[in-house]
Amino acid sequence: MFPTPLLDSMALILSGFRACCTGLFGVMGCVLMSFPMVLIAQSPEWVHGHVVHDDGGAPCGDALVQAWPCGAAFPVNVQGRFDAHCPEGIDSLSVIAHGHKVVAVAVQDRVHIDVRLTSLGVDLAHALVQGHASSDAPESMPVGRAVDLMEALDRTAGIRSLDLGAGMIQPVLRGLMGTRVAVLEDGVPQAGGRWGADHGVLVAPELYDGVEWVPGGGHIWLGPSAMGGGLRLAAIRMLPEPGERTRAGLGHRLGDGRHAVHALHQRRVGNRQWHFGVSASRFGDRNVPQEEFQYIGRLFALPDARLPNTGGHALHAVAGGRWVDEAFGQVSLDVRASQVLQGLFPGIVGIPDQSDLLGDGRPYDVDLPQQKAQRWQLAGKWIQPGPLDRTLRLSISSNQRRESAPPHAHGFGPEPDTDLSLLLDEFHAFAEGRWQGIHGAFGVQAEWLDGQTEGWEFLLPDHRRGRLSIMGEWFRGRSRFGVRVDAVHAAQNGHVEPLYAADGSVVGDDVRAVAFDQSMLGGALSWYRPWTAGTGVKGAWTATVYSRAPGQYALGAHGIHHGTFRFEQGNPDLRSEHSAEIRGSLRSETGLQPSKIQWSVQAFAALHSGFIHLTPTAQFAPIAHAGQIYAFEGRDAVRVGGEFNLQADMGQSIVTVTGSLLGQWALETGLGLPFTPPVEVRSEWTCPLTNQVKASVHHRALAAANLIARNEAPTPGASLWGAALTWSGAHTALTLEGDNLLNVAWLDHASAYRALGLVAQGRWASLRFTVDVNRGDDHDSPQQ
Amino acid sequence: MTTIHHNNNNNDYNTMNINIQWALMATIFFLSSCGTTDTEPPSICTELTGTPSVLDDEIEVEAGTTVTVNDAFCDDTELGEVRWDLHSAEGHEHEGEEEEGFVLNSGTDWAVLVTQELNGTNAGASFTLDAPLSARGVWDLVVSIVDAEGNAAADIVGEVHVENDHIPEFTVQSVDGVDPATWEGEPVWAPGTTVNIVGAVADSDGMEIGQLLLIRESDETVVWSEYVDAAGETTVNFSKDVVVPADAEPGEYHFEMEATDLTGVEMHTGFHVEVE
Repeated sequence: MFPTPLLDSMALILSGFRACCTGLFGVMGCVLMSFPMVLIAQSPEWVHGHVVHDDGGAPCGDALVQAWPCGAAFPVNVQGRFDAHCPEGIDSLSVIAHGHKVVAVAVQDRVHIDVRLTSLGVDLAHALVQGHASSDAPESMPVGRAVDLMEALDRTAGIRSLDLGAGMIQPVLRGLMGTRVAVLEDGVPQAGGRWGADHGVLVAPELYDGVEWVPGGGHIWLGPSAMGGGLRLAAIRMLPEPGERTRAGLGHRLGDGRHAVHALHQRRVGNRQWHFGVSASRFGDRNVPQEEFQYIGRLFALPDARLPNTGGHALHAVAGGRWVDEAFGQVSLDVRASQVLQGLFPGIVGIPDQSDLLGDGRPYDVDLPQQKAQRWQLAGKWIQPGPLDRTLRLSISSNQRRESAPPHAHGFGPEPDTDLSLLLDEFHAFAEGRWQGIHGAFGVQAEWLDGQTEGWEFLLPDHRRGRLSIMGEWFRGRSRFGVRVDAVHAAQNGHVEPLYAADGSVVGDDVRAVAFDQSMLGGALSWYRPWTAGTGVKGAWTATVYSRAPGQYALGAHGIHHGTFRFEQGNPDLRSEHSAEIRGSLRSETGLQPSKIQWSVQAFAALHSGFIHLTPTAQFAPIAHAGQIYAFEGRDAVRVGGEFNLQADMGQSIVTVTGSLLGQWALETGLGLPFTPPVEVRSEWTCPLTNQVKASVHHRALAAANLIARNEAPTPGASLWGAALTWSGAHTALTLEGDNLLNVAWLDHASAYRALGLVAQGRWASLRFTVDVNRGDDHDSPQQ
Repeated sequence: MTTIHHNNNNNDYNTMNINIQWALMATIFFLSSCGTTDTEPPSICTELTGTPSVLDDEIEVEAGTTVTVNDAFCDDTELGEVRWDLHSAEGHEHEGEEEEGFVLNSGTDWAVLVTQELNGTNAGASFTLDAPLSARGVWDLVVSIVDAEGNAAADIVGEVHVENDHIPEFTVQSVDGVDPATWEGEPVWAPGTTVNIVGAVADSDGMEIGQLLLIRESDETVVWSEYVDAAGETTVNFSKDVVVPADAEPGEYHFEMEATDLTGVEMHTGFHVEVE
């Protein structure tokens, strides 16, 4: 299509581009020189052709052709002919037909293209599993890999993670966390202490096939919890061919002395696969560049620059199988189990004594206070292809969290005679049925949670929660319309204790929880539409309104929450919060042309009616080691923010810059919402030293957090440096990485530990070795 | 064709103007709907406080007597609550608090927590403490105030010194030749070592008996103990060699000093020791 002089010009520009990117002003040059390249790219506006079956060449009359970059879809007629049109030109086509592999065709300079479709039967398992990965959340974005998931989340713009120890994940998506963030494992929402800032989900990311996140709320398939967004853990996929794959790794981290090992093995024989994986880690007391901290007005010394009794261990295991049949579809079954034992920093339970904080020189020992969390989950999935692809998901899980601490009294009550401060035992069941075609999808989700609690800390009564949702999606042109209707039933038992006077006498009843049994309706409406902002720039926007029923903890809490060091009080009168949100994204898209610069920008604005959050009251807790009472209240709020990513290929090296910006305000007061993360910019420069070795330097700049809630202290900014050296072989990799190299004492504004003035982890360095080996069975071909 | 094009441009321009106007109106509405709130925390009204006050350098109390602390609090809009939290000063410090040095506290279980509602923009409040006969040493009185909006003031920390003539009193002159008043942090003893302690125990009624013990805190096991013979003396000096067992587990220990006078009044005090 391009005339020779034009191609010559492009070659010249490319060579200049390469030269400029290695120069002093590389980044600026890359930016400036990218635009002519983008403008030169041209594609035909009209493309026509035929879609035929590969076996025999018969017309494929039920296919759909989607033209890119505009995304418009064109049905094929009975003769298999199509005429596709994009005003800005067509660079590629996607051809979809039931029972056939999706085919992507680069148009280049052609205006007539005949496409041959291959029956899915030759690779049914692969197509089925992968075909459903992201279709239910078009806004999903991958989360990169790092030394651990917490680190990976922290390196993704828009996400923060709360460090709760190995094996526990508490993501903060666009400033929201806990029950406002859905953590899903292959579409199944994960339960288990999802309500607190310190109660993470027990998962080992190395035992999954990747992680992605979906920003914002109103998503149809992620459930009503996904208000800040969702974190999706991809299930282990079926191997594309018979054979074996083994992934393993081990590593050690200096700093908190964490060592970890994992192995995941997959074996496919014919149309069956089984897999088994384990992960174990042990970690010592957290190293912090800090010598003292303050809690409830008391000043304590940390003489060893460590948080004593924060070590522990984590164990995770998975076992499962896949079976595929051309007629029956694919059946998946996975069993997962996890256990985490972790000491709790003595400074956060009861009133610490300086002698508790001196450390015992045994960083791996776990003493009181401590938490033991364990879970098991049995999940199954059945995908059956047909005129409408049918997916059935079932999951049951048990999540238990046991916190033990030196006994202390509530108010003037007697001292308990047991170490059990809180036991939260939750049983969770989930079922989903989904039918999906090329014009839309519909489905039903049902969820049930039964929670039993014990312990002298009380905090939460026995509770039950059920949800029934009906979802539908309609793909119209380039748009995607979605609707979800939720019926939520929430109930809890009452709980009354004797009320003691200062002299220990009983003077009445202390009502810690009021029984209720209520049902709430909610739902979501969403409109997603991709768009093209010009040559080389693609985008999408989403407009959505949605509601979310208050969480069980917000309805029923009453006691000291050690994760936030506050006395927190639920409110059974809370009603669902309603939100309206718009989101937009833009990204560079150069199609088949090479690009030295890639960028993307996402932004959102959300208005929340009755946004439920903890607000300080004019009352003090009846316990010496808790200050003010914080109560859950629903108040209107507005949130705006965005993220950007920029990657520049500067010849040999690559520079990546990502950043996020977030503003959250309570409209009634004009004050910020609690724990609003500050502006953050992360930069990384990566340079290959040889074909197998690359070095990188990264920097994280955190602005001061001055957008604060009532009684919340501002947090100073921080500048953190890190570096990594990676050797990669054909199947192995060795990584030496360090972070916070200058051992900066910095406060993580999103962390509850910050309320104590406890800084985040100090300098650490880790050495990791990973292996990923595939071995095919030459003697064992797939059954077709 | 040109005219039509021009009209289209005008239409686009008008549409854009309307959009901008809507955006401006929405922004103005949005900003005006953002409320403002009282963020000023309440404070203690120094001109209205009584005697004694939490602002005093220290409040002296004799064990077995009652003292009432009187203070007044102010807020620019509406007061909420005040909380009086009296607790032993042992084992921690408060920000800005002067170092007390080595103090042998007794009866440290004594603690009082009182919350009172406050009304108006200024209000007086009083806190009565009945010092028990078992108490001796230094207590912290922490006063917290919050206004009706939930604004919390920084805690005000006062010191209460409890004198006691009722129970026997220990004094320690030296530990391994070092005056404990010069200690910075906890003493550290090694397993298998011997630590000499020189001190005295006194009571105006005469001493019946005294005992020194080294107790492992993890399980309250006594790993060493020895009696101090009193024989009815009002003051008994002692010099004892504390033997830290060679197989003592590293960790937190408590050096306990107990005494009983001739009238049967008992007391116990001591200090933390780290064994490693």
